[in-house]
Amino acid sequence: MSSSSPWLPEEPLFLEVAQTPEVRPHRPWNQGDIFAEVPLAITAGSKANPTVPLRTACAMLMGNPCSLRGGASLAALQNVAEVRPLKEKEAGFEAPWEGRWQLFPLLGFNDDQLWVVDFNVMCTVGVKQLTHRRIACLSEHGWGTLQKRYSNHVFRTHASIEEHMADSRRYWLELSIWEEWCVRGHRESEFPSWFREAMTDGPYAGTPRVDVIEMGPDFITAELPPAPPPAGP
Amino acid sequence: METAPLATELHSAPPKWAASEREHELPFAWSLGGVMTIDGGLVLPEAGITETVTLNAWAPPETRILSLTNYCGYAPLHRLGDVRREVKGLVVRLVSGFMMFEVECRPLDAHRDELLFTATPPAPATADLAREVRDLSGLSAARLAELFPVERETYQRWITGSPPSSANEERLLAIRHFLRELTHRVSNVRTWLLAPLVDGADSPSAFEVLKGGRLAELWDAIADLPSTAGRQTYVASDGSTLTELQGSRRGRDLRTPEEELDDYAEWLGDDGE
Repeated sequence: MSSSSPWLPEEPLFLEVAQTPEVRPHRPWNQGDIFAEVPLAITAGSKANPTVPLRTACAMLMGNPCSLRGGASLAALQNVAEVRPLKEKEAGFEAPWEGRWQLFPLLGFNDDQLWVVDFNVMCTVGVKQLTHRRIACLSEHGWGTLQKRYSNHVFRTHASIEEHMADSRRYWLELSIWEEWCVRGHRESEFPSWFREAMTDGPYAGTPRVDVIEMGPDFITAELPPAPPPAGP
Repeated sequence: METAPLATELHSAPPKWAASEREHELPFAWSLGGVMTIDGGLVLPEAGITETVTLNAWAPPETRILSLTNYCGYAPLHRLGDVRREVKGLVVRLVSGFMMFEVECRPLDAHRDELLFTATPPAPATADLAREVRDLSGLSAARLAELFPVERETYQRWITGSPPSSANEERLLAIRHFLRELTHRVSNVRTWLLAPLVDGADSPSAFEVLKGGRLAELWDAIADLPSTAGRQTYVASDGSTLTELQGSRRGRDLRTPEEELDDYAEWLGDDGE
């Protein structure tokens, strides 16, 4: 009996993907974002003579949205996994994507060949190594798919993509509103405090916006302040 | 044919199951445990015999529910060789992760030799969504309408196929996700929704909290309750034995406070701007 739910959705994995940085510059970072030219280090060599080979590669941000930042500030260290083309010896890794559970297939990332995330190559990088280097953002379906695959890699248990998506919906809605906040020209760092303020209008008036994100994303969006006027001459 | 000996209720066929000359295909979305299928159809038992079949742990749940709900709109007539049978009674009863239905069969009129289906047009997915929220909660349409807020008639129209706004569809999806998990955690969803959330005469009910939009508060309220959600173990094509969990894995919204962020200077050194 095969899997009872698919490992990849029919919907696209990516919200946006590009060859060069920077995609969606107004969108706050999220788990699953892919960055280019990230220096990755692995501890190798012998016990008596360890070495630290350094390689520059694409990498996927693996931190949970609640842990990759604190308040409005990004954590100084970020966990990433290597993103690379499928190796020759991995040929045969294809739909329905069963087996090679350490790999997450990135359909749609590269037109010429299949690229994958390798969960066995996890590195910690300083946050400055990622700044302005984002080349891909996952879609909501892509994020749920990543969670399913990574959960299976780590725990050997998983839920359906839809279940992961439903559990993360509140964070997806928050990110969308946060992006709109930045598109309107407001400072990214000022969103979290605004998000924790009480609603001023509508059926949820008086309740902090963070508490009603699932029931009232439309009401929250309606309360977004307009773009600030351009600076005078 | 194997059957699961579980008792359930048998209801008369809904009035909308009227005879019709219109053909309509209705493949089953899944195999029935213990029941053979022929070209996706249901192998019916001997006339006059009521059989009960239990479907266990389907996934994804919404697909099965939608398919079976649509099926309720049909009175399928299957030809099995020279034997013709009519499904007389079909009911879906959702019981904590299981779907149970009974099929009562009787011989057809010998002159009716066509494969006929009687159907109302399939309802949109949002109709099933609104209906599922009503069925899971045990609340009336009037009560549920307060959550959006809309008029009672509006919620009823959602059930009959009138699409809600995208914002209200978002609310329906959020409520459904919560209610599905709630069914794994409490024995009576309706009672839990209408009871005070915490002990004390001044405590609002869960319904009132939900009416105030504070769905996260309800998720926190059930976070510590044990779940009856199951798990399904299966063998993947590479031979691995995997486990898919049912139900939500949602935890509390624990965000790292900004003051707890470490600069890891011992690793990064003085990386001033």
